[in-house]
Amino acid sequence: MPSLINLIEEDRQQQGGEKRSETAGRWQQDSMQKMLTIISNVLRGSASRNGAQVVSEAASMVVSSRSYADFTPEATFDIKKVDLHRLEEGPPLTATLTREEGLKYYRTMQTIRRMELKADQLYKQKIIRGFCHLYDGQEACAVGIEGGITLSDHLITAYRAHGYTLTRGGTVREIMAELTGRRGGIAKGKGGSMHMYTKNFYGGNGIVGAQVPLGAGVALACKYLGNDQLCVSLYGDGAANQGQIFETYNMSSLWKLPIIFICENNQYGMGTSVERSSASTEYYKRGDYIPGLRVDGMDVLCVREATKFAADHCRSGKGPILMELQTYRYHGHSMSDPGVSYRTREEIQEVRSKSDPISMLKDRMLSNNMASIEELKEIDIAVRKEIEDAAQFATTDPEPPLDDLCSHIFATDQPFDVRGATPWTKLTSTS
Amino acid sequence: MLHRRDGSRFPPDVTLGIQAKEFNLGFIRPDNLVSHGLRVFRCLLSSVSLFQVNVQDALNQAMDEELERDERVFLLGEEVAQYDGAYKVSRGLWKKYGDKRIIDTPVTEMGFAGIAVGAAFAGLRPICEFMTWNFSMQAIDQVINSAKTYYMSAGGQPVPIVFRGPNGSSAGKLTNIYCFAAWYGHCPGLKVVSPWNSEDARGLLKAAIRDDNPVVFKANELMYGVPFDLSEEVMPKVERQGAHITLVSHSRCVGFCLDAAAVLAKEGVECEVSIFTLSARVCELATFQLQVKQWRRRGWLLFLWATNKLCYFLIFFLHFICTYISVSVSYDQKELLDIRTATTHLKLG
Repeated sequence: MPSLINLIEEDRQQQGGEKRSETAGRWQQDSMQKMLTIISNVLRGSASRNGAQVVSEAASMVVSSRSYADFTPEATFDIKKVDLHRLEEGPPLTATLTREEGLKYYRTMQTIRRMELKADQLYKQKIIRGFCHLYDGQEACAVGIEGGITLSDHLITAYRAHGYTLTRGGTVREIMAELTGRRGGIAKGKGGSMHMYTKNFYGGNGIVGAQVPLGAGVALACKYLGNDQLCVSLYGDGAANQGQIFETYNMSSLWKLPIIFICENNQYGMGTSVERSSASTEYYKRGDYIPGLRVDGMDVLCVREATKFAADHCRSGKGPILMELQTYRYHGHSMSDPGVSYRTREEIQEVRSKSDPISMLKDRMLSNNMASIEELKEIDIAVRKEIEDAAQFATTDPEPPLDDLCSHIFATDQPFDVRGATPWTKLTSTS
Repeated sequence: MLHRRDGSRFPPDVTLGIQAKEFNLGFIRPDNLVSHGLRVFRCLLSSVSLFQVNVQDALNQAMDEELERDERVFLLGEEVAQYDGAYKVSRGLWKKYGDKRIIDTPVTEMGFAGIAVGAAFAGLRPICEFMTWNFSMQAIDQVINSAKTYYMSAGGQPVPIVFRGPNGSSAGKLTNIYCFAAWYGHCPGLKVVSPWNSEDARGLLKAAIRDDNPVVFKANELMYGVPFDLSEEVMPKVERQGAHITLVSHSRCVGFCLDAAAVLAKEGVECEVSIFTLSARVCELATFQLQVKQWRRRGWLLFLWATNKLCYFLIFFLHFICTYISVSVSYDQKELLDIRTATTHLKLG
């Protein structure tokens, strides 16, 4: 077997220097190579592959294009069909992934994963305190959504916001320093886990469900200013029952606001499973008159294609659209929740082994020869180092000065005195 | 629209002689009371004729001018567009500016207050109207939490929004008549203003719209129809001069204080009536320092759960003080006798 694989490699290297042409004979050779690649990968037996993945790859086609490198530059994958509500057509059933995109998504998802695990570690060491809601398991949502919109579009989410802060332009250093409450943080240590802001990213909101009308307001501003931007407004399965969300559905539909409502259904609202909280668990249909999609939120390509579809819908002036992403969180609701009193460890393990978003992407890329295992390992090491550096910074950076306690109460105001804890203590506030 | 007595139109921004920039929405302190009064006085001297304008029209004029001045300003609320405003404060604005800038909303306070705050996040300057401040209770989370954003983003996300509406007592009603100045006044980061007369209403609304911070603007429904005649002797922050007692009040109760002062004047007690809570920050009461003259006593009238009967109570109470209680005030220590009156603590409605 190893000799057969070597033969294939030699063959490919010999042909590596030649230009590809569209002759029939050449095509046959390509398909032969593709077949042998698949066989060799199966025989090599890459770890933790789920059955569905192998089947879909056997059915996938390699798109031939110019390339001198060993790696496939681009591949098309079948993705799960999306459930539709009030829509004739949905997003496409196949998604094309280029090598660069794949590596970028892999790196971002791995960064989010490691960052959340590091936050877990720092919390247990009491370096991070207060609230800390971790996003591991749901990385495909953040990365997939960002793949479907641009940085000039707007996004607002609830408190499980670390992943989105990263995809919206924050750096790991700033995020971790904000979690530890230091002056190098993205909100200078004054916001904490739930109040991180970047350009066109409005947090991080503590009140469940309140971010949805805020997102509609941002969408109203986009429509008002006529800048062809849209707003993505996220909420969870727990928040999906909030009254203000239905008020927002009404107004955004009435005024045709360019907003994508996204329900990240991770099956549990804190400790309450969806069956115990909602009379209807089909969250994509809850918008009633608003068209809806139910999407596999563990597959980054599925999420990306659905987001692109939704963005086109909004930008064409058809008004709001609702997406439900079916996803899962490995950690508990927050750091104070072990996460096993309302669900079983077996359930968590099962999801981890069968539908982990990072593993899914990794397997896809490896089996289509879009990256080598060493390359991905290198990315892992680089990410680990980045997180270590960020954690080091977050631990050693000084806390904000006491003068900052009262600053930023008002914008563009003269400095004024603020009453301290007693009537005779005065602190100065600057804008 | 404001007109001079001879029928010609007052050019905008010179109306009432007060420029919006004269109103600083910071805390009013004694050291700038006098200088502020003098500035206003100087402006008043430049106005050439008398005119009458009621509070409703003053607010209308303020919004009209600000809508014209800045494209980003818009108004949303229930019945503000085609109905011309539930209390006619936004009369004529929809006809002038259209659907894009004057938006009728459904009866969903929490939803549209949140939408207004979100629009402010994204760079617009909304005026969010509540039909009365009682209905803002449905949306109180959005109003209060709009104030936290600038602080928690360490200055990254300002929220230039104005929440407006009538507040406090009305005629013959038992519900929807509560005063929420103190509720919102407790919130750091939120500016609360509660004007009494037309010029304050107009100037403060303009200043509120131009301010980059969330402002809660409380008018009073019963004041909407009251015209104010401006003469050159008016000192807006101190409505009536007097040497014996200072009555400090806000919103509609300033009128009660003036009535009480008129009655007491017949008894020989001279009251100074001053508008304190243009900025209704209750927690600042402890640090508010008025210029204290010898033997001056001070009674406060706070507008909480107010009823009409209060003015009679006030007159009796103050008469009692003047006749039976003598207070020795040390000039150096600036000791003040604060007597706060409010209405009976009855929950109505």
